[in-house]
Amino acid sequence: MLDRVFQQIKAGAHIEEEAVYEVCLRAQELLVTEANIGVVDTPVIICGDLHGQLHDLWTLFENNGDVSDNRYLFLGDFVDRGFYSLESFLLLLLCKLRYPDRVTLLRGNHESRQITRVYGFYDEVLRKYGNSSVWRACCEVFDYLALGAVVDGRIFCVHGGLSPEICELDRARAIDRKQEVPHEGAMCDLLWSDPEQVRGWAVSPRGAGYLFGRSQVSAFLHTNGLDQVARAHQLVMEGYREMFGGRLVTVWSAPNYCYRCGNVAAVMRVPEAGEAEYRVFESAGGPAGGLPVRGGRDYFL
Amino acid sequence: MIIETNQEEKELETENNDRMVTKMTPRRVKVYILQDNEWKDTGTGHCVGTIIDNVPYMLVNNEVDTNTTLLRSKIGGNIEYQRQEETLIVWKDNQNNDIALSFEESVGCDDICNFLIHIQKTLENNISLVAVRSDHDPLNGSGTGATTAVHEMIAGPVQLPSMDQTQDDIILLESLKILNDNTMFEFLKNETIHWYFNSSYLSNILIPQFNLSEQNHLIKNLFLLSNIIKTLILYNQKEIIDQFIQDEETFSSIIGILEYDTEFPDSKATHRSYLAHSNNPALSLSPTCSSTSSSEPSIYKEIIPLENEHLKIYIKKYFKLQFLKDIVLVRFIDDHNYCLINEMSLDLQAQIIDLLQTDAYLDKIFELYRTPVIENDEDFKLKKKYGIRLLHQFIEMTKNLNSVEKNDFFKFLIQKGFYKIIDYAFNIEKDNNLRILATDSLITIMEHDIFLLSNINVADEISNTNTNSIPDMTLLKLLSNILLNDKSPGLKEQIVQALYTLLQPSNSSITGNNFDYEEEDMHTNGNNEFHGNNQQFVSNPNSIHDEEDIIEYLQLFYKEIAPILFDPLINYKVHSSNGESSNRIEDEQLLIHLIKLITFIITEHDKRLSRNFTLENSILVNISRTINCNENHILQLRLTSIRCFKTIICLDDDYYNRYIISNNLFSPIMGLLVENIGLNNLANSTMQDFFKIILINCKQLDNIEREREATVDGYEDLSKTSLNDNEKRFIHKSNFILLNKYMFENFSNIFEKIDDMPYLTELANYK
Repeated sequence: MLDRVFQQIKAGAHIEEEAVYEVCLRAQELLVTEANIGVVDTPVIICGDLHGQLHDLWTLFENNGDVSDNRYLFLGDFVDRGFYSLESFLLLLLCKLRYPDRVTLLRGNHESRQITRVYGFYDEVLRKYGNSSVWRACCEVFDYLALGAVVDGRIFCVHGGLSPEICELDRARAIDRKQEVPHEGAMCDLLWSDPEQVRGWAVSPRGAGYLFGRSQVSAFLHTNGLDQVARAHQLVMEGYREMFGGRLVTVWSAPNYCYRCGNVAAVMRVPEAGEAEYRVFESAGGPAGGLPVRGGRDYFL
Repeated sequence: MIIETNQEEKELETENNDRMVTKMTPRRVKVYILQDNEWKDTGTGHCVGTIIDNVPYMLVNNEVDTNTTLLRSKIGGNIEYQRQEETLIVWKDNQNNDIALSFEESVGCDDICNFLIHIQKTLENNISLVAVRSDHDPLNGSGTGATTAVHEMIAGPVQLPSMDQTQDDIILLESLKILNDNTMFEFLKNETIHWYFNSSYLSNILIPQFNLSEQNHLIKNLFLLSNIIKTLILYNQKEIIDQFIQDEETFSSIIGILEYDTEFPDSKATHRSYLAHSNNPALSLSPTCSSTSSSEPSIYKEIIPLENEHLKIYIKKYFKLQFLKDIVLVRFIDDHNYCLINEMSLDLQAQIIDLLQTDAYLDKIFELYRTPVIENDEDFKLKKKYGIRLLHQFIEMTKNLNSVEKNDFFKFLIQKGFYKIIDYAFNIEKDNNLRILATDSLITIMEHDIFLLSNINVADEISNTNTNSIPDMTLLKLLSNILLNDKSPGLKEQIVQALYTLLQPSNSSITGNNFDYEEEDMHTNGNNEFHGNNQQFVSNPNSIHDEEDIIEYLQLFYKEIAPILFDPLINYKVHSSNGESSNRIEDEQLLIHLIKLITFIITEHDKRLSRNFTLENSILVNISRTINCNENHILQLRLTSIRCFKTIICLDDDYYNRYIISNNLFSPIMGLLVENIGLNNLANSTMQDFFKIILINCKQLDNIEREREATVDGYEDLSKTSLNDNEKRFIHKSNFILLNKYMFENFSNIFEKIDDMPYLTELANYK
């Protein structure tokens, strides 16, 4: 079954509702066994926001090697904005199901009911299936996604950033993450915060999470014996950007974001030993004629 | 091509100018000339614009000696005048002198600028006037004080595309470039739009050129035309989009042109043929059913003839707009276009919904469901199927309308016989997709106002009995049965959603829990991703319902429906013993849904009603059992059950608390804890959160107690006789202390093995 869905995604074909439910249920079953903050070994390829740009995800895999031979960590925001949120998310779930130890999926702020209702995923599902059940099934899986990971005991990976409630990383274990992303609190901060040149914790213009500065990053890394924070969440035109003397890096993996931002994308390759290397890539475009029209949308007079 | 004003107009304008010149008040001004890179003050005088022998000048007479002229500058050539801020005009004249006029008042500057605008429009088309304002850019750096100059053209020559009847790729490329350049300034843009409609550029040039180019396979031209249309879309003008969708022919040409895309030069989209042939053969109408005339694309399905022409035009326009937005332009449009198209859609939606209520069309649709199905009449069956989709489509259209508009339309639908369609969908129709759509329609109306549905007497509709005062349970019963018996997981998801809505009768009026997503805000308020964009609480003026009504409604629910709906939890044992593996996933998912529903009714309903029901039917005992590891439930289900108990703890309810302790309901939870000691997984996290909840409440309690000790030091008797608020809360909160004691008395052998749960360690202080 999984192989068939994989082939369907590859061919750009419609995926039956029943198959989506099955993938979602199996993904739940797997994700429920994982930690809030998992442990990931090197070498690993760390990837930022994808936002439903399926074609660019394929490029990402082509450039960096098959999941069967490489370890991948995705920092969240798989859905919304692009036109293939569903396929992108399912593809990642299939990879995860096939190679549970080689793929780590973290939750992004867009992996949420409230946000996907507004930024495209919900509408995409309605367009493709005519009803929202598939969307609901995916949202259930969102709730099970991990919140962060530590690579090789050195790099803390998270979608957004730090939280004033989590000084010791171990405290994140006490979050029952199986819920919609809350409006405040540790879980919200991890998915929503941004680094900025500020002192202390500052109000985020996004309306959720915090802005945190260099000293927060230093203190956090020191307390937890880590070297670096790797996160996504913000568009960087050059694909990746280091801040605070390299103690924090933003990785962005959606080239030509929204099909018009003109940015390049990058992944962060962390080897077993030595410096991380960033590999930049450009957009693969997409198929002609916009969305493949599916399920036969008719208009009734 | 430059705008040409004809001679007659010119003369008329000149007269006007002369009049204007004579009217002009001389304005006090300082004249500066740039010499050796320095602005040199050449004196102060009064400035007017004037025309002498059809040649315009700027004239400044010395204020001291009015006979001497400080400045006499000919206006012409392609001089660019810059108005800087409010009072300065700067230009380089045709002799390369840099001149600046600094006005005493901004009105003076306004006057001269107006004069220049007139001159540009009449005598000297090639001069231009540009306003330059320094703009402090708040987005640019924090506190660096970065300022940027913003240029805005006020008047100037406007280049426009060629209107030649024969055009090659060079001309088209030039036109594309011009149209693109003209988006730079509001002035150029407005002039271009004005010209676009006056010249009928679309019908006179673009469409004929497209047809010609397609016939002759002039691929370069086709790509250029496509880019021209895209550029026109970027002008983001309602009138232009409206023109594109005004009739079928224009629309067909537009989407035809857009089939060619320079981004994908090797492939061509097939919008026209998609519109002409519905791509899903299973849905195509039989010939007798379709009454659409042959000239119209068959994507429109007409179940029965729609006679109201206005309505027909609006609906088709709406579809064309959606087709543009969702398919043709989906990769192309930006946020501004999106906003505009949404705005236009909303207008059309409102008009359509309005017209539907004054037309007999829906009556005819509903009539279909009053006639029983004749066994072999496939055509008639198909019409009924389509009716469900048609209704869903119109209900979808109301999603962005305001609540009064929605209310009117939904009431209208219900009066006309909405329930007939629902009844047909659930009881006769076999196609799951259609049943899901019907549920979706139902949910939309329920989410708007549940009482619209529960107050219409369904039984009355069906069997003509008159028992209007009793709340109707038919719908709840129907949905409960579908949830328990239907196999489609998609339908189940929808049904559960409907049940949540139905079981929170107060939601639309009292708790305001029912939020709607306002799409427009997301674009105007884009920098606040989280709050600014989405949820707007919709308070519904039509649904303020009596507390008593709600209680009555819920009482009936617990009496008649809840025992059916929650049967798998009430008779839990029976279910788990004959658990066939083939149905296992379905059974587990159903239990998860039901446990979540229980959690929901425990928190949302009148406490007495839901508590009596759950306790009398041993539901908590059975939920506790599901956590037990030898029941072999999936972890998701077991954790759902633990979350149910977390919710109950938070209620701080004496009855539940005693019940939990006396029935030892936490025992299975501690069993799950043992399974996960030392592991870093979701089960472990859920348990830590469980302890955290108890700890936080015990801590609060402790703080209150300390406060009390501090205030009533030595006056214990007195404090016992008169309880202050804090103390009341103290006694109230003691549920948490009791619970904690119970845990440590019964499970301390387990807790002793745990050293990596900081909250549990802290809890030991309160045992």
